[in-house]
Amino acid sequence: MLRYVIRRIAVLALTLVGVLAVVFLSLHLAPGDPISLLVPTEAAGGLTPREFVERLRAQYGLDRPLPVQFVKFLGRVARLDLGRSMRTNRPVAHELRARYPATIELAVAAMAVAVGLAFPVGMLSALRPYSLLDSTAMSVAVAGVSLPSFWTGFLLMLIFAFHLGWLPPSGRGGPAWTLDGLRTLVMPAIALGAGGAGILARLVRSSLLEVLGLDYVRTARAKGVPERRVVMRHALRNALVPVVTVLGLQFGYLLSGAVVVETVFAWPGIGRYMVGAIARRDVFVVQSSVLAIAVTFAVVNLAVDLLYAALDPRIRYD
Amino acid sequence: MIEHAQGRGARPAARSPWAVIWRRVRQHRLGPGSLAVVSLVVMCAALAPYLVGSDPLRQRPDMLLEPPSRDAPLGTDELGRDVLSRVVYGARYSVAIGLVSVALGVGVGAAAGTVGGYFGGRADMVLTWTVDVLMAFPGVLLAILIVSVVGSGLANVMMAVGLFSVPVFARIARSSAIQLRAQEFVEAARALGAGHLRVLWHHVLRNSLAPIVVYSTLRVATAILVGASLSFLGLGVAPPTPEWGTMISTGREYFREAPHVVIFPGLAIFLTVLSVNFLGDILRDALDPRLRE
Repeated sequence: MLRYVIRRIAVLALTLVGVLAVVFLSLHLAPGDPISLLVPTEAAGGLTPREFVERLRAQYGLDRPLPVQFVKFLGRVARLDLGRSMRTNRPVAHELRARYPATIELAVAAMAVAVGLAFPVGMLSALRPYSLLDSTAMSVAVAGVSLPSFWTGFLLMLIFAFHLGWLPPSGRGGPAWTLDGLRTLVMPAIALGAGGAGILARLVRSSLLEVLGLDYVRTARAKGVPERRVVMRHALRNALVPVVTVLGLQFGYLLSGAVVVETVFAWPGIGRYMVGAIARRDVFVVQSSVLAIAVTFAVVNLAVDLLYAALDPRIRYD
Repeated sequence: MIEHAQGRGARPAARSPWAVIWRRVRQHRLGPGSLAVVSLVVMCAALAPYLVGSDPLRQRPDMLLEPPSRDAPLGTDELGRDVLSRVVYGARYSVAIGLVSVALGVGVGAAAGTVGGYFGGRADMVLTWTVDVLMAFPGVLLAILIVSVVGSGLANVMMAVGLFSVPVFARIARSSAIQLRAQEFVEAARALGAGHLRVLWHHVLRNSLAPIVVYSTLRVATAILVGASLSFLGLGVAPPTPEWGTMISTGREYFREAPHVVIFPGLAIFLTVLSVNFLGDILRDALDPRLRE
């Protein structure tokens, strides 16, 4: 197990270096010159005096060779010094920390919605395979995957906030454990979780269906174990194994989807912060937000993988 | 002959894949409907000016935010533009983003994956690492990062969404190439003196085609969704272009009073993506039983 953990962490570290390189280099994808993202340079048709541009370039270290810039960048990230916003001049790390809990809360709630919908639907389908119920349920699952989350969000808002007046249309009323917080969380969580629910429901169905066909399930039935117990105790447990691995990936998908849903519901998370920054071409903010989400995703995946290896010894010997 | 040596010989003369697919589409409960929707969307994209009379950009100050009526079957938007004609023209951008970005993803991803998986060694290690790194950016994140730096616009969205598909196809092609590399018919081709390029093209790539085709179809659906999301975030096709995501983005200001400006473009995205997804599933069942969940 220890060897597996070490290897897994090494792979993660290597991947993170790549992630940092991509984020770092993205700045240099800017047409012409990264400094042109800050001020309209002459080359880009602007009027900023050349001396001022050069001073800015030195201030941001953009006059140094690329490898030196990268090492400095790594050093800053390691110290959690993500620079200051180009527009508001506030430290980015500070802003991110204030918004991080809201995004995680939304993603976790959406995951709860996805799992809560996927399990009953997937199990019903697997217990009556190839029936009308099954094909209907699986069509609904595909529909869930095909929904644009921003559109679902507006439809929910239209119905439950504007027509029925049951829920506040947008914003965040507070943490999820307060009533106001919960009331604002419901719609964004459903809009975001619907897609994940579709993917998971299909997976639960196929995984459970496979396990139900195995010899040991037949043995359990043959010796007279009640069907309910066969499904819940014997089959479902093993069917969960592939589902759990996908949960980590799903969480990443929900984190990135949160960017869109936060914009719809004015949810004060990292996504909305980032989208606002894109409009202002505030590249440091965008870079840091992307980094925060990617690192969270990587760590969650690592945790899921390790948990999985602890539960299932076969994995460690791959 | 060599290509048939993978245990297919026992079966009777194979039906053409088109016949198999067509039969599957007809048999699936939602197959004909999905095919009809996709055909309609493609037709709208190709023939928009002939299908709707009104210009999608024409503003009518006397008809602002009108609900659906005989004059404007899907209503008008905040500038009095006809929503139906905007939705019909919008098919162009979704079809273009879906097809071009997936073609990009398949072209780059499948080529890299096939070569990496076939040759193995250091090139493969670099490839695997690159794929891992790209996959570490979940969902639309990489596309957002790219577009935020290079700027918005149709071409940049296509590129960003295409890059988002590259690692997926690289993985599929790689695992398929690794499997095929060890097969006897590939060894036989090599022994008969075929060069690597010939083996890669004729034997490896051609036999990886089924999963690539299936995933390309499913990926078109994802690409349309991602493209529309980027436009909704203001990173894609800019207004006044009648792109579906952009229409929802500008319509959101008015949707409480005039919900049709948001409902119809969204419905167009949903139905298109849904139908492509159904067709992808049908294609999977028809072409590659191994991929069935």
